[in-house]
Amino acid sequence: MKLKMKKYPLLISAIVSCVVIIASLFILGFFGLKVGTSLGGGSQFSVNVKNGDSPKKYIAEIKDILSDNGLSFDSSIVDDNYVATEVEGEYTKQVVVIKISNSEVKDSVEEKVVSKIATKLGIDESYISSIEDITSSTTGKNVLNLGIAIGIIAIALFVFAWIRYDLFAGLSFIVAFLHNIILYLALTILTRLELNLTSLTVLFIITLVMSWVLIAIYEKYRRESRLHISDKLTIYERMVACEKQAVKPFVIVAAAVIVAIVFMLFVPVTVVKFTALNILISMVVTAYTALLIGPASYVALLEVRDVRLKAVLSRNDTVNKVIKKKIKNSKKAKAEEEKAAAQAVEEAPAVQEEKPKKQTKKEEPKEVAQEAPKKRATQKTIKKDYSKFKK
Amino acid sequence: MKKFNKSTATVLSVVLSIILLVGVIFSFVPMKFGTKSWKSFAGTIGMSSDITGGLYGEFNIKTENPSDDDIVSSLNKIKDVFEQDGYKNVNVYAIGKEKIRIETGYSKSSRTYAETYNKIASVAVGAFSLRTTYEVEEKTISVIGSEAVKSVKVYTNNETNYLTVKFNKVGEAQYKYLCDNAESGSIYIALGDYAQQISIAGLASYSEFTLSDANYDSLIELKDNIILGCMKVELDAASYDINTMSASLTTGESSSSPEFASYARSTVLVVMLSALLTVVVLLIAYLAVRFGFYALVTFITLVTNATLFVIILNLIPSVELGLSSFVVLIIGISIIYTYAYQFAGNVKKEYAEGKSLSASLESAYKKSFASVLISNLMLFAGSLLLIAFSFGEITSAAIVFAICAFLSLFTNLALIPFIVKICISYGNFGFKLFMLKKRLDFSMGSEDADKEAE
Repeated sequence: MKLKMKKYPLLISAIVSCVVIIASLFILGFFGLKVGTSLGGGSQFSVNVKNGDSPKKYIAEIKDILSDNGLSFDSSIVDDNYVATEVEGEYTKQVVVIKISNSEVKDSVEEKVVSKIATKLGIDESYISSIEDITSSTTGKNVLNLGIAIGIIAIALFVFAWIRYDLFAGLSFIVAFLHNIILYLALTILTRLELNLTSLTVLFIITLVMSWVLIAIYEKYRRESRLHISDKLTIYERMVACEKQAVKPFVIVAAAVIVAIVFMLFVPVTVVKFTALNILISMVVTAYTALLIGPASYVALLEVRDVRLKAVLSRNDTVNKVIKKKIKNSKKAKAEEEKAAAQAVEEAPAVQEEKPKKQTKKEEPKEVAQEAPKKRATQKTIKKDYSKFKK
Repeated sequence: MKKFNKSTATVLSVVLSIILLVGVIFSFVPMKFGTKSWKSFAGTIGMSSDITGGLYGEFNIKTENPSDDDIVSSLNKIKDVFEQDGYKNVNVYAIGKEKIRIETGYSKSSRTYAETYNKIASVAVGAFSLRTTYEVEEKTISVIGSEAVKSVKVYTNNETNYLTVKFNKVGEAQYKYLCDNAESGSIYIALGDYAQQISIAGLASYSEFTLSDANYDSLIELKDNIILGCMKVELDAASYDINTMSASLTTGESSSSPEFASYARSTVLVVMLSALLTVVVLLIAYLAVRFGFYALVTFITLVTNATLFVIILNLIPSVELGLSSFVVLIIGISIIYTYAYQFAGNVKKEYAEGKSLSASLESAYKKSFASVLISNLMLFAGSLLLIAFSFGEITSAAIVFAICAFLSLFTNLALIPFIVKICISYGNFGFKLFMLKKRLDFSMGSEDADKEAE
């Protein structure tokens, strides 16, 4: 019963993760992945700025019009054109370039958007370029290379944790590592945040940070387990205690980073705001993985191992008991026989006395000899299991 | 942790202060020595176009109806050429099938507008070919770069510089045919309409040809031109548009003029720096409240780290700080000071358990040693892997993270213990450092007992 209670955090967190991942798969199926122009291309158009107007106003107005028409604004650049000499009438040299995440914008939508922008900004439609698809230089090969890097890091962490701690720590590292990446992507899909180069950077760096927190916890656990081997704490209790001690400094640092995020949220630039939200999500995922999934899966694996070891030991105990019982029975039988023989000696003549005695002497070693190898084998397995358990 | 003599501690602190002061001045203060000016290490850090703005170039595609694969492979060739020249965060993309647009910052603030302009302009170099006549005629036999070239390499051997162009199988056959039929052995290297007769340095096989030149830079330029000339998509060299653009992370009002190109900073840079500063101030304020003068030690390490960071960043070629790098820098700084906090906490805990100050410091250091070493080495190795496999702004961010991991190792294993050691050499200051109450009893573990033991 106790064991079941301890498993609840892992079970609950596993269920939560599964729900989030499944929900994100549904969203992905219905709405697709929102990818930034730097990663997956999109569309672009430009608007010439009229004399006396500011590009800032243009960007703000265009953003609203795009979102009203189901298009998602990605980023903007102002082509200042300082070295341009030609200025057309009432228009300045400045051109606002707008990038949209959507590609293949329908002609009807394009017409609607262009006419709305022209009306809203009071400019001629001819100074707004058509919405054209853009192809990014980032290829599948680039993303594959990143995947390879992540794979190598995960394998290296597994081997390191196996050597430094044990196989189960290595396995929990792999679980936590993959969980961190998958859950981050799932939450990005769920929140409909854009996946771009910056969010990929945040994902990879924060996954490394998650492994860093796990190392701090496991190091603490390793040291505590060695120093206080006689403590009657269970694996779960010890891990929780180590987690509490190891995580304290990280909480303070996380608080400081959150302050930085708040700063970023006040910047009136969409990309910066999205990046701040990305960091926030990644911090939540990292904390969740490093505190619940990683150590909990390690504890679960260690407990499963212990339960199995105990089962082996108790099975050996039962065999031992059976052997002991048999030996006891045989001794009892021998004593009874001796008793019977003694009685017979008392009753029978002297010459006949020797025969049964010889018989019993021959029978005794046979029984013991039959049981001895079994006993030795059992003792050997017990010793082996104990040393394993001790390790 | 053994103390220094008071005199040694004084000498060390003076030396450390002087080194730090000189480092800070050269790292952060721009200076003028007569006609020469020093921008400072921080002033020469490369910034990407999303923060500082830069130049854009728009080129018309000459090739009719190119395939998507041809466009993507051409975009990558342009990107490679720019990245190899230090423009790490260059953004290259195609607008429809008509235009290719390049957006880049100045990479290093030492670069001028003209340099970057020329770099962008060199993209429309014209198709690369080898041919048997100066001008294209009916009898001309050609090796077409975009079909034939596998790789281009520049190397130096015995103080002579070489450029080798390797052909694929198609190129090998074309080149063999060209060599066999070249009139009087003349071969011309052509980029678009411009051609130049070349002498090939030793014809070892038909799979490659090699040129030699005393000037290494001109060979590098030729290499870039050949790579760009081998693009599947040909750009119109006659009409292109190159001009200034503002930072992509602006609210619209910021702009970069060619005169002030490298100094045009967006509001985002100001916000990111403010965020960074706030994180640092908050961490130090918390340490001051919790541990007293230990915050001063942290401040000294922070100044040292900032100095080292800008110097290391200058030593690594072509790192451009963009939004991602600033985010990573905030996380990196937090990582450095996590263990600084943990160390101080452990000292307090050990002292409360009855150990002397020196014993507490020793024990706290030993306790966190393995954890600091392993976790930071892991971060460093992970960042190096990311650098090796990533691209664009992710590479710059990974470089920043690797530097942070290295600084974390240095700070927590060497710098903080060293400064603390100097501090505890001044008697009671060691106690003030961690807000510890000096024990007056002579029981085991007191300072006097410690002295006796020594």
